[in-house]
Amino acid sequence: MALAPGRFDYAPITERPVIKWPGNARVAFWVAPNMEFFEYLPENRPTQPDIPHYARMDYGNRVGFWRMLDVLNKNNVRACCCLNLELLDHFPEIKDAMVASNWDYMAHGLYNSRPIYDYTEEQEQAYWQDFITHLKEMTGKRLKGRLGGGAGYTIRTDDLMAEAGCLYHTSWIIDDQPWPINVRGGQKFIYVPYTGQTNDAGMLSWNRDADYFLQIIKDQFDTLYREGAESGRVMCLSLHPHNIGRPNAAKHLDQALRYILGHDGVWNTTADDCRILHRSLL
Amino acid sequence: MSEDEERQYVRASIEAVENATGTRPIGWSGPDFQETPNTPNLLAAEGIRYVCDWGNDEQPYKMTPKTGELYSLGVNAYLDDNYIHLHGRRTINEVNLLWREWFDGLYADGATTGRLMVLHLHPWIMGQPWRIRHVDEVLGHISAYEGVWKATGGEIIDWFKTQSG
Repeated sequence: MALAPGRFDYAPITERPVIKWPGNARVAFWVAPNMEFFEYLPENRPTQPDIPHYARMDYGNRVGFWRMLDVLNKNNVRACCCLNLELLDHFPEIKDAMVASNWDYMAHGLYNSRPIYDYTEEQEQAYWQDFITHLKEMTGKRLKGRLGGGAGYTIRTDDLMAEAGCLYHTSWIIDDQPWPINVRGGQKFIYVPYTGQTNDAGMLSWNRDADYFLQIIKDQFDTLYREGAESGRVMCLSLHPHNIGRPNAAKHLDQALRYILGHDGVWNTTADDCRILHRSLL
Repeated sequence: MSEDEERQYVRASIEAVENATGTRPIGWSGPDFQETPNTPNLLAAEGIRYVCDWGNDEQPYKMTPKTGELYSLGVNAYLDDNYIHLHGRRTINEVNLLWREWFDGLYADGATTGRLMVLHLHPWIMGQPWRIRHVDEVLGHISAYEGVWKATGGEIIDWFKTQSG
């Protein structure tokens, strides 16, 4: 049964073929930093800067990213970031650091202040070609996936991504396992689990403390790890440098990673790894 | 919503549940606990026996529809995960403590006269991997006591009628 909007079929998680991850891991674990750039004068507010908001976000790129990167590298975590494409041009130092750590990249718009909601089909096709070309030139990586979020959507986004040779998105938080997305051309296209609730964005939008974030990350992992003994699960840790890179917060990220990666049967991977998409690609 | 529109809405809702499950529902919980001034009348006329929208008591009570019979089994907003945890923005630890202490208070007062606790949960909220242990802890806390009757709405109404006449 395909419910509206018809992008995916329904199947209870209790009644699916068993997923076996590489090495018989219970949980495929991946980390998704949101590498974002909010414009000082966004298109919809060309004469009205929002200094506190701009500064809070820019702090992530000036300071938070470097603290977060240090924690990720110390724990041997290779991230798959949600990328505002223009960030590569604005901050070549950040681009070089991501390339040096062999990160993977998901499309996440040009700027976080420029969603694609109003794009025509032609505009969006050009957008995907531009993203693919530019990303390849700047990082050497071929774009495969996307997180929507603040970058917005159109009703054609999944179709156009598949036609541009992309393989997955993480935009619809509908499951704890990868799941096929229906696209108009019939290409293989997959949803990979992302997370909205166990996301450090709650530190800003809900005023949650970093230790609470650590607690819910551990609880999230414990449940998925327990259930993953029967059939593999995916756990995503979603980060924003302006949140998790704060001086009081980074140590909690370190503890979360040590806790998760300290378990046997955890596959330290990224959404870009085709093995995580095996469900319908193989 | 006019009276006719609402009557159709109530009938369609009841029939949808009956068609899907084979059982005609006898309870009602309005979307966001909202009603029109006429809702209890319409519910009773369509054979609904209890309604959960009125979180204003710790015991069932008989309502006063124009026709038929209707009881209130109120969901207090503090016992609704959406209201207290998402809209109310309490942490999950605060919710866990609140629900256990809520039960403790009812249990103490229930020694004199019986009390009702209706926990109102949403799968997309409490079914999340990081929240499920809190459901387990709260239910474990409640289940550890003697003198707790785990019942459905219909069972509660049936019993309450025999007691209250």
